[in-house]
Amino acid sequence: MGLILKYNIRNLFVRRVSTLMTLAGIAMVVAVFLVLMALAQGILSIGEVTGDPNQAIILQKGTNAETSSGIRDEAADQVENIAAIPRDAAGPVVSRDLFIVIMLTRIGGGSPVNVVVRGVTPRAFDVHAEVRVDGGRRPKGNEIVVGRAIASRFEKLGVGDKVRFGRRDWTVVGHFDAGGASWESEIWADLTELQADARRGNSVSSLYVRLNRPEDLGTINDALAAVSDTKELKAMSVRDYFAGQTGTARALQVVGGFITFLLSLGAGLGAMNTMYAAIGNRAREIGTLRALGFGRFVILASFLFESALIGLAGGLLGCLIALPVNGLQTGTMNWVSFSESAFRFQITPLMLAFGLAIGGFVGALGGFLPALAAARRPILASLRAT
Amino acid sequence: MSDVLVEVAGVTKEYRRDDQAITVLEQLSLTIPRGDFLALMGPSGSGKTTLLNLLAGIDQPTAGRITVDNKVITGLGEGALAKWRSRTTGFIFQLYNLIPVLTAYENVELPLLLTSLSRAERRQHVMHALDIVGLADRAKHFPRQLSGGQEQRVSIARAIVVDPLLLLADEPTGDLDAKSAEEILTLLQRLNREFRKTIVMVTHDPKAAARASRTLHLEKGKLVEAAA
Repeated sequence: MGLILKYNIRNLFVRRVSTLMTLAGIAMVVAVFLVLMALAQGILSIGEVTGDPNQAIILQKGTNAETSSGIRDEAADQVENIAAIPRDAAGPVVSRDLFIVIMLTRIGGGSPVNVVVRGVTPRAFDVHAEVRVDGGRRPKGNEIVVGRAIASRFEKLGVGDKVRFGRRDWTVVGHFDAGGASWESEIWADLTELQADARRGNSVSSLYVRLNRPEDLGTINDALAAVSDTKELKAMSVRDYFAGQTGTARALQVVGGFITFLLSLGAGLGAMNTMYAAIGNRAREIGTLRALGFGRFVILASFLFESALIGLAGGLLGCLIALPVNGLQTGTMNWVSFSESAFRFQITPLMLAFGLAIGGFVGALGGFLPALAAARRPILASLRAT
Repeated sequence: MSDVLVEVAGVTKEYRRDDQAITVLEQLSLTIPRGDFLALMGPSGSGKTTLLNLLAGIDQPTAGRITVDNKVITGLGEGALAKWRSRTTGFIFQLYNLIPVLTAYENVELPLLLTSLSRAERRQHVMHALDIVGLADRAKHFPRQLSGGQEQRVSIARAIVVDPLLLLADEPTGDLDAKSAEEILTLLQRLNREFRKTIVMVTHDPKAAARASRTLHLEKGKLVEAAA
């Protein structure tokens, strides 16, 4: 049946203009779909990358954000006594973090936006093993290190620059990488210095701990509840914590899916229009094929193939249009910390496959009724058409 | 093997147009022996093309029965009839009905796709058919690159490529100049005499009918005695 397919393919070239217009319509749908999904995937990946199942965060009960959580020094000391928390030569592997939001101006101006400053002890680098500071220099005194994702997006965050927030000027002594994790959108300072600058005394916002195994979370929560100093605290896995923060991405996926669906209907109707015109112009050819002995099914399949082929080509073009956004970096508001989270658009092979499938499906769907009409038309009626 | 290839027995064909039944063929009976070259003549609306379509199995009678090569084709289902057409009949259209996007070779190959022949066997059949109509050198040409007479010859090659029992031609010279028409008629005559093809040809043109071995006249859906 290669010849019949050749017949369909050559006809696409005969009516170049209408083929191209239909194809372009479908390409736009696929491109919009891919860009929206790449955006959602980018936001999601912050949570996924950050979500090491062996990391847990301990917060005050009643809050799901570090911004609004406070933990006193005594409680933090108690937590370090919990048996399920691993220890090394330097003691329990617990990172005490102070979480503060400041305002910085983006490169290119505009009004300042919120950025997270995290006060950390050297322990932070043990708990968050994925964090690597260029040159290995960790902040002391008035020094800060800046996550790679925001270093290039804000003014005065280059190594050696001084930036003012709180009650003093801070010197950037390094940039750090965290493999795409959320920390890359933060500034890290020494905990004691930040506590003093922000007048927070000895209290912290959260504790991060490494777990020997993810199941230890329950044991830790039991241990927290058993002591009066810590019974107002709760532990959750870092993965769950960030999953809660990426609700924006889920919403985006739903909205993106809905927009794609609506656009697909439009493109499908376009394809339908094209195919109705095509079978109208080729009625006599269809009649001839039927008279030669080709069955209705062959006619149906052949026109369905022709339409699906336009759709697939449109899908491919859409992928090519969307592909350049892959890796493009941008920022979004994190609605839990109300601060800037930087991320990259991510187009995955699965998305591309989906894009192609949408194209083919829209083409086939739009071609179905016309192909059916072509197949059902009586031979004599087709032959008499001019 | 019976000498009769086609038997039309009491065939009536009616069309309905708004509640009104129009009788195109009325109680028509005729037999066509093997090897016949029959011309069907008659004024417009006499039912000659309808008769041809019934013989070709692309239309069904309202009443009566048509038998071809001892097989009753009346009442066959859609699929069975399509299969029967592809093996038994070759149809030659007034306007050639070649597929514009396919070459002469590919147009002739089309009916062979419905057989189980291999690509090499198909090639042999196609080239043989094109050779018979004298267009082997035009195999790679598209219909738009051919003259009307050449297009009709490709259409004839397409009709004979499966070596059908019955060739049906609907005004095969109706759209051609006198010289091309002569060539087509000579070709049909040769297919009849040299290759023993049974041919039924609908025509308006007495000169065309004169090339057939016999002529039947239809008027208002009935056969009338031949004038000549």
